[in-house]
Amino acid sequence: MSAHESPLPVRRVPGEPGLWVFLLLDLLVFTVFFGTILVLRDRAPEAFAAGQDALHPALAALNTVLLVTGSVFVVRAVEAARAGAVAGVRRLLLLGAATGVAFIGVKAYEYADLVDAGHSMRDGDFFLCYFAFTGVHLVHVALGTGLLLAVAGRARRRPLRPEIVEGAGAYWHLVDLLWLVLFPLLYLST
Amino acid sequence: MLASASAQQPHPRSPARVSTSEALCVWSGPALLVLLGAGFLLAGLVPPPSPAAPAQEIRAFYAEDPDLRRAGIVLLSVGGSLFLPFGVAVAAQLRRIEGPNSAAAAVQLGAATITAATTIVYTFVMLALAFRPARDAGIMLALNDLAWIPFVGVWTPGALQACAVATAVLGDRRPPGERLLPRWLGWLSLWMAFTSLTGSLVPFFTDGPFAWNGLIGFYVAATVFLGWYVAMFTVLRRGLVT
Amino acid sequence: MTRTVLRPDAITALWTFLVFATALSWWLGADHGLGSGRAMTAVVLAIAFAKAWAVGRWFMDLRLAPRALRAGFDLWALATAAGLVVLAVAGG
Repeated sequence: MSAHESPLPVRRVPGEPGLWVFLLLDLLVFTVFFGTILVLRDRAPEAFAAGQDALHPALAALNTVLLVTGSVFVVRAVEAARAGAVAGVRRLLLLGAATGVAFIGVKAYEYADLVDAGHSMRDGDFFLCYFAFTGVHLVHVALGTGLLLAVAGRARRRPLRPEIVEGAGAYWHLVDLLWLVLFPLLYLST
Repeated sequence: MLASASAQQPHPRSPARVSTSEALCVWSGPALLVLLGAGFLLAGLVPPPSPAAPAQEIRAFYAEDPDLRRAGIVLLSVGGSLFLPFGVAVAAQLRRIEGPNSAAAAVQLGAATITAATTIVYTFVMLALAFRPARDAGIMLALNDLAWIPFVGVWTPGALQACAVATAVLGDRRPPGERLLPRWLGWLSLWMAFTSLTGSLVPFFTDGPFAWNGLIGFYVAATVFLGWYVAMFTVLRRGLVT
Repeated sequence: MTRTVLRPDAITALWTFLVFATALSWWLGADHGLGSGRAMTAVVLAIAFAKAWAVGRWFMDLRLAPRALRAGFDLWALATAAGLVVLAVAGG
């Protein structure tokens, strides 16, 4: 690829084209999830409002900042990889993975807190949406964190092909993007 | 959904000769899709009986048009058995990619065998339901659960097949012009396996989107699962010499 | 000449936008009497999709992608945002 030759690369698919089949289809699945949340909310607005009152938007906002910050590390890792760096790529990917681990920690605390308060996935449609959809998203975060760690592991000595870092980065940003939409749908829209 | 117009033309990199039996295995893909679709519709199983329905309602469901239901379920059973030959066609391509000792091909074929065998088992249970719908309603309810919870909720054999395909396809180091299966098929397979994880939620709900008759538990899951077969067939068909 | 294609200040600007937009939607969603709940939901959703689109365009590097992929993503963001706003406002 020509990313090395010019400061503004020619038009091309980030990562590799086939990966976008995964990314775009995942986007479609979450589109169904988003619609489901609003349809179920419309059937029981009071129960949704009551459920939202039991959540802690501050923790979700903290998690948003964590993912967005992780995205900044990952973007800079991609740029470092395009510039042929080794140590910088590795350090930035590990920092990105650290935000993923922190996100999982905050989420685990939030789940534990809600379960202590007597809520569960079967405690009405709001908590069904909350636990199921943030749960599926959390699996995405865990996979993304693992992916960043795996790529960081490979970036130990030789420079990686930038496409590999771009691909892992694109997945990470998708996880970020999905959270940015889930956050208001579950925590804010009263 | 991912089928393109170019799929209709012979593949430029077709293997020199494909046996008649392999061609039949490839064509068992669309056959199983048609049989499963016809079976589901004929047996009146779309939407499936509600997991929240009381026992009497479940009994009434199978007592209604019993012959049509039996015929539809038999079609489901025949379609389900074709998961095996189609798995053989997929395994043949994986062996061409990884070599005769391909572990991915073995895992894929083993998992396809489980998909076929379990589908036949679920249809056995459904046939028992439709066979004697006048029996005790509580037994009908139990048999109905026994058929539907795993039929919709067990996702692992299909995911294993998809993971095996993804491993072989994405691990293929040949230059783009010599690849038998395109890389997007590997990513599609990973997505299929990843998305099918939501099947784990089926046992938790008697209603709502994740229940065995729900939007995500049934309709999205079925589209993803059967869509993978459509994509696999589209790609495998290009390898056949006409 | 650096090979960096997204300048560091652009990354910082994007991070600042995303964090402030989150704070703004949190403040709006916390019901400050600026309008009915449904109208506020529409505003909050619009902000969310502006953020999601920005992540796609700059972080995921779709700005560099071929036209078809870029258009596909733009269309997804627009159609999903519109669909969800209609669901949120028109429902009930």
